[in-house]
Amino acid sequence: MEETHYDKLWSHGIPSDILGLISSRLVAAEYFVFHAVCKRWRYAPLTPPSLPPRLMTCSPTPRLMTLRGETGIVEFFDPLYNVVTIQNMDIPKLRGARIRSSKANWLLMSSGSRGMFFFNPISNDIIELPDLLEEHENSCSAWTFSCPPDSSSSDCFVVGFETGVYVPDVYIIKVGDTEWTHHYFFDAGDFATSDCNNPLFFKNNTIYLLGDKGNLGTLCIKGNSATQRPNWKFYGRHFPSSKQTSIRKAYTAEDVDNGGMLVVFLSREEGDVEVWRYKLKGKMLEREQLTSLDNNKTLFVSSGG
Amino acid sequence: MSSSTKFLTLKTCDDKKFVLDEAIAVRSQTIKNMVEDDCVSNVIPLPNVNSKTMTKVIEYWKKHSEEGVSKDVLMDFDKAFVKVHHSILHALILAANFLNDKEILDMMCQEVADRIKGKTPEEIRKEFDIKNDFTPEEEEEIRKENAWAFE
Repeated sequence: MEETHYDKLWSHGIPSDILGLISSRLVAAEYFVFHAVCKRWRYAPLTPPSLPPRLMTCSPTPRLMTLRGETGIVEFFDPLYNVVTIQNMDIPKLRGARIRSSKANWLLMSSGSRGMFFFNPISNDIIELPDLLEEHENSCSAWTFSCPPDSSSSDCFVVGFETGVYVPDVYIIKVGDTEWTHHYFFDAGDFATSDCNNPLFFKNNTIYLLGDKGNLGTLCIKGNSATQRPNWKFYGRHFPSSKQTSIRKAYTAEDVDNGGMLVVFLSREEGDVEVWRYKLKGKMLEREQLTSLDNNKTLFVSSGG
Repeated sequence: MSSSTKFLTLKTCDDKKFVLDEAIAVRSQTIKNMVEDDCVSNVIPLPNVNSKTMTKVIEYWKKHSEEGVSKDVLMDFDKAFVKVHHSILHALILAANFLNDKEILDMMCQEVADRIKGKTPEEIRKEFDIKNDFTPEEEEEIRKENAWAFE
């Protein structure tokens, strides 16, 4: 009996919900390989009946949320399982709105030329912000905020950057303020940013923004106030111009383990990706290209993410 | 209520009988429900489980019911327990599913997942004696969908 019918055991001799239990313990590439083994495994249920608790608790896997502007329909893309789920939130305010930044379940949204608000897609809560100033409207391409807007422990600052060829002008509000403050920066330095639209807000009220030339700009909010003029500082030499022109798009993410920033450069060459670590040591910017992320880590990046 | 130990008799599909302390047998939710619903006469038939598999399950139940066993000992026991031919893994999964023992089921599914990790589809087929039932065209199609996963 020993070697008779082993060949059907794992294909036809196993309920598909158990195949689901097994595949739910796999992530990313393993999961796709699983589905390429045989037909029966290919069509095992995609959503496991019960996710093992460790997946739920220790690794809240990121999902990419896309808002279909006109309809208000939201798509969630799960990069680990390559699945898109569509949800009709049926919230009128989302129609025509844009996602600008995200943090801890909260999205910073803009609507029309002056409207700004926070939206929490888990609880569907909305927190309104005052309209942007009439004379400037929303000319900012990059936005960020410091902490969840309903945080009781610290003030939430929302900051917009008018990016372009000069040092960005800045919009700031502290949640609870009745009006936005717009800060101009004439001749403040040689810094431009347009390739990157996810500024990073650090705990000490400092925001990191990647420059087009591979350098770093930091904006420091003063006196825990939106109306005080914040302070720009710039670090790092420019990349060689050949490198500058080869960069098509850049994404940034907080380098939690090293207290700095990770930058992902997409090159104009298809599929060419570089990851760099940026870290400030005193007045010096240390910049190094990474060949691998530490400890088997996976980095997820997106616009506004 | 008497405090004396109650025993249950389990009968596997190949007509072997196992006499077991009820307190241990109710690790199976299925058996527990039967006991609670009072539909246990003399012998509990387990039509989906053979004696070889049941012996393994009972071995696990007994070890995990022993008093004063250290965590390390249990971990070593579990490690050795899952190191079996895939046909036994398979039988244990089905038995755990039928007996509704989540602990064994989870452990076995994890072991299968661990054996899948880091392998190519072809290596996985070899590991589990699975026949490739895709046409070459279908296989090519699947590879293309998520090419990065097969690098």
